[in-house]
Amino acid sequence: MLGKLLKYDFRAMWKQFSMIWLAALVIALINRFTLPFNRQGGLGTENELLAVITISVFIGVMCAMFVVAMVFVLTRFYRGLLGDEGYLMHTLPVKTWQLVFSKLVCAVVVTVVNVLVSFLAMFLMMPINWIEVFDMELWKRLVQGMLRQPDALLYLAEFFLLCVVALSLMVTMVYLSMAIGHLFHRRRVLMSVVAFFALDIAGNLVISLVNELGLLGFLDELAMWGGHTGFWVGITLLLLPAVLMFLASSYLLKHHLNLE
Amino acid sequence: MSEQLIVCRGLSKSYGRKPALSGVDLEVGRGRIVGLLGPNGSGKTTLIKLMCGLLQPTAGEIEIGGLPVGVETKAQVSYLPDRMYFANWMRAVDLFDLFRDFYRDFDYEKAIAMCRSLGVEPHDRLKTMSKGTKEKVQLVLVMARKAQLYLLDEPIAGVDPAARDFILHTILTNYNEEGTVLISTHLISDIEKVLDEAIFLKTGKVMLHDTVDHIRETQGKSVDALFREIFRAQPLEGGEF
Repeated sequence: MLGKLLKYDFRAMWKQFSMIWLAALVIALINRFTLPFNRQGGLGTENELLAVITISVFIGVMCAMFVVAMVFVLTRFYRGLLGDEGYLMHTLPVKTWQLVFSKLVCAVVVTVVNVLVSFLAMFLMMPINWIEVFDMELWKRLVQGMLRQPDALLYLAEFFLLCVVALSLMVTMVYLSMAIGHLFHRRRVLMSVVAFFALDIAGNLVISLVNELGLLGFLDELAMWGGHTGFWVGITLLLLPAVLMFLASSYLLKHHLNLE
Repeated sequence: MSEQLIVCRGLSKSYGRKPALSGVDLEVGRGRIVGLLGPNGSGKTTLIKLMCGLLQPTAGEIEIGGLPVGVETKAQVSYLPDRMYFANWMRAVDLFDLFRDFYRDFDYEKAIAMCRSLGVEPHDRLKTMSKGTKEKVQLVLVMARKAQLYLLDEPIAGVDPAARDFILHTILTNYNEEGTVLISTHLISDIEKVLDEAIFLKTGKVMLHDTVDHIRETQGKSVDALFREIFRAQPLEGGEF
């Protein structure tokens, strides 16, 4: 059932983002031909104006992309599970944690794809010689270099995982805040915001307490054992609260759902 | 298989300090068409939402087919809410795909056929449809299932009398006859002729639960007439106009 939920959440994501992702890439490609550093020789006033316009549009689309992503993450959960669409989602024969997990996966994926599209767009804007890019000799040397340093790929994978877990922690914290806000009969949005700040303060208190107990020093020592250990300590430390917040959100929606 | 389809024991629900249902004890069997009747604010929607799992009871328990409300009962219940619950970018066929994926008892071909007979183009986007057409789509989603329990929350509220007959006809010609249909409404005269049983709710309590035939026999009046008598407007808790 989780796969089916993901299918519909991804479809909603694609519906909302396909045009904006395409627009970002197309505008980046246009900038490839209008930006001054991409051209040989000087530029006339008209072309400078065109460059300013195209780069402004590009920046606007990039900003819109991240704002829409933030709104998407919030509304897919709030409207989808606690609003009118919740009448459909909560009457489907699926477990509550699956509903929450599907939204979480979708939120993480949309953010990751946004970052990838941003990199790709910037890559498209650069004055790259595409003949060099498709030079097999270059790729051969790159692969050989990587094979000499296999750790590099692992570091990259660990860094990516760390980012994904950190993002999941942020998203689950937002979800839990909304689930707590939903416990109130009035001013649910306001109470969600209050809950978010309360969770943030509680998180900082826990970190202070851990520090007081000298556990942070121990974790530092663990991290010093080697680069990989440092990453895994970080991943574990972020994953633990993310899992707790995910479970708490699922519990509140399962046992205290009140779509009034 | 449990003999009673719906069992409520001491079921209560409060919104803050305001009680919506108070100690409801109820048993409804299979293969029945039951009217959940009461004025606005009597607790009809609350009771239906509790059966769907959209609300959690403050006290008491509720069972559907012998099971507490959960994944298994949701697979047996077909629910028509009192609002639109789908995203506007979808088409009716997208919703049919969704229902086919999640409900084993959803009949896709029947849904398409129902759309045609109701004059709905299933490939149109929902955002281009009128409110009435969207309501028809929602009705198709609910009635194209061979469910054990149909929970229809005010399906004929807010539509003209001709449309009411049309909706009732759609319900009666498409429901699973082995299942039970629970229709909440305060428009008794329109549905009285199709009901097997009537449940009268007043201020969150069950005032009466009986077969329609027995009500007519013992009271000597129609369900609608009895309803009007019981729920005659009392502006100031018993005061006179």
